[in-house]
Amino acid sequence: MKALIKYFKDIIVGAWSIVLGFMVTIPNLFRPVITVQYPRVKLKMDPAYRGHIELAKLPGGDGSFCLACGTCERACPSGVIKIQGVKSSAGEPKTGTLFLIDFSRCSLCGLCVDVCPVDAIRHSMEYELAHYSRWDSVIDLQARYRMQQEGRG
Amino acid sequence: MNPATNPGFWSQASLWIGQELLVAIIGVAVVMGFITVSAIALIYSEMKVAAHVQLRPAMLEVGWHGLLQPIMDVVKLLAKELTTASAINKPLFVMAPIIAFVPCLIAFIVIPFNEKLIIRDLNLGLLLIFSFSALNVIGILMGGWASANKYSLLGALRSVSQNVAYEVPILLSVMSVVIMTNTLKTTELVMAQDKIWFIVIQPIAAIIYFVSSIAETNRLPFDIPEAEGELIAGFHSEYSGMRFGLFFLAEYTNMFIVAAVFSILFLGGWHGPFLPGVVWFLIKVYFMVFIVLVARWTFPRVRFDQLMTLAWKVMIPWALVNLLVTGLVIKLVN
Repeated sequence: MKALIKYFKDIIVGAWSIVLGFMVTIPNLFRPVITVQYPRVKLKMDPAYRGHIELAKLPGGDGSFCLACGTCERACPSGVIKIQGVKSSAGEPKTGTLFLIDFSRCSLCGLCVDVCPVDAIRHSMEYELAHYSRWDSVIDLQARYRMQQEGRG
Repeated sequence: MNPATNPGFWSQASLWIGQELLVAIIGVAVVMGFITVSAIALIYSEMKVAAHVQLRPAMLEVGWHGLLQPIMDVVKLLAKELTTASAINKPLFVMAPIIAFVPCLIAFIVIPFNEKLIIRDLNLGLLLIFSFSALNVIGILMGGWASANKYSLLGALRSVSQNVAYEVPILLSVMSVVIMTNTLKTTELVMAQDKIWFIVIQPIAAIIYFVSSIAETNRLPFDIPEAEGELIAGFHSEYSGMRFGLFFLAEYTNMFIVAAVFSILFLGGWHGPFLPGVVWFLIKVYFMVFIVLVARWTFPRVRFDQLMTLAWKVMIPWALVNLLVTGLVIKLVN
């Protein structure tokens, strides 16, 4: 007897689930799409987005404030940063002249941003990093900083 | 019409044969053209419906909103290499897609688009459709066996038992309608619905027919033979290029035929207020096809034992009960 009741209950529950299913999918046909058509429409990233790093300009300074101290080079767990700098005279801080970074190995962990003593590095909002050869991923951030300054000024 | 008494018998006979042959050839040509256009439209609408149910747009690249995409798909299928593994059974492998596709063409002979637009108004109309769609099973079995692939074989075997199991409720529910109208001719079945559509009188038969026919055409949720994701493509995984295209075309044409039979039997065929009959027929057929397309993205695939339980324990008993009640009511009313 119980099996008979279960049989009929299964049929009714099954038939109702069909109706419920259509009540979920058919309204979706009339809703607007939620995907972003990427190459034609680009999303704007949050300020907190961790894009690849760039040298930051501090207010009042006219060069990037990188001291070429090498703290970020030592903090990087993947070893992708190479720094060079010059010291104009004894007693003066160094200025950085070359800041090479290999983005194909950068894991965007943010340790270099955290340890910089003068906050010269920050994350940018750039995510379009595809390139055609392996050496295109090795970028000199000082040169990029100079190009950004020229573009802005 | 006796050759002995009628001297003009042979000329009359050859004239008749010539006329009928011409009608048949023109009909087949029109049907082939219609099937191709309909398949292209169905490929496009399947992708679009699938996409919008999932809240994404589909195919924005080729042509305006992807209108040229199905044509490119057909061109791609035509241009692909017809790969064959070395362990296959060559004659069966080559014949399987053909055997899967030709019965669909034959079923178009008796589908009425209008009172007069039917290739041959045979007396056994409906029986022709069902008997030839049973040949589809042989095509699938041959395809699964001839590809030397154990997963294809599994898909084909499951398809055979699924199709055989779901033939019975289809035939029983169709019988409930046929004993009401006392005819198998498709035009008479439609003309008997000019006052009221049979879906109102026989809702259970309509539901059983519709669900069983989705199972017959191997569409999701009864998609085990071609379970994408489990068996890659099931019985047609070893097929490439136009051979796969034929299986694909057979599936879409089967969907059309099943929807056409549903609208002939239950939705009143070509009857409708203002528009011409052909337009109403096509609207009804494509509406049913639309429901089949949305059902693909609404329900999960049923497990094989659940599928068999549904056929043997739910569909067949209720179809039998429906037939019994219909017979009793007819006997009592007359």
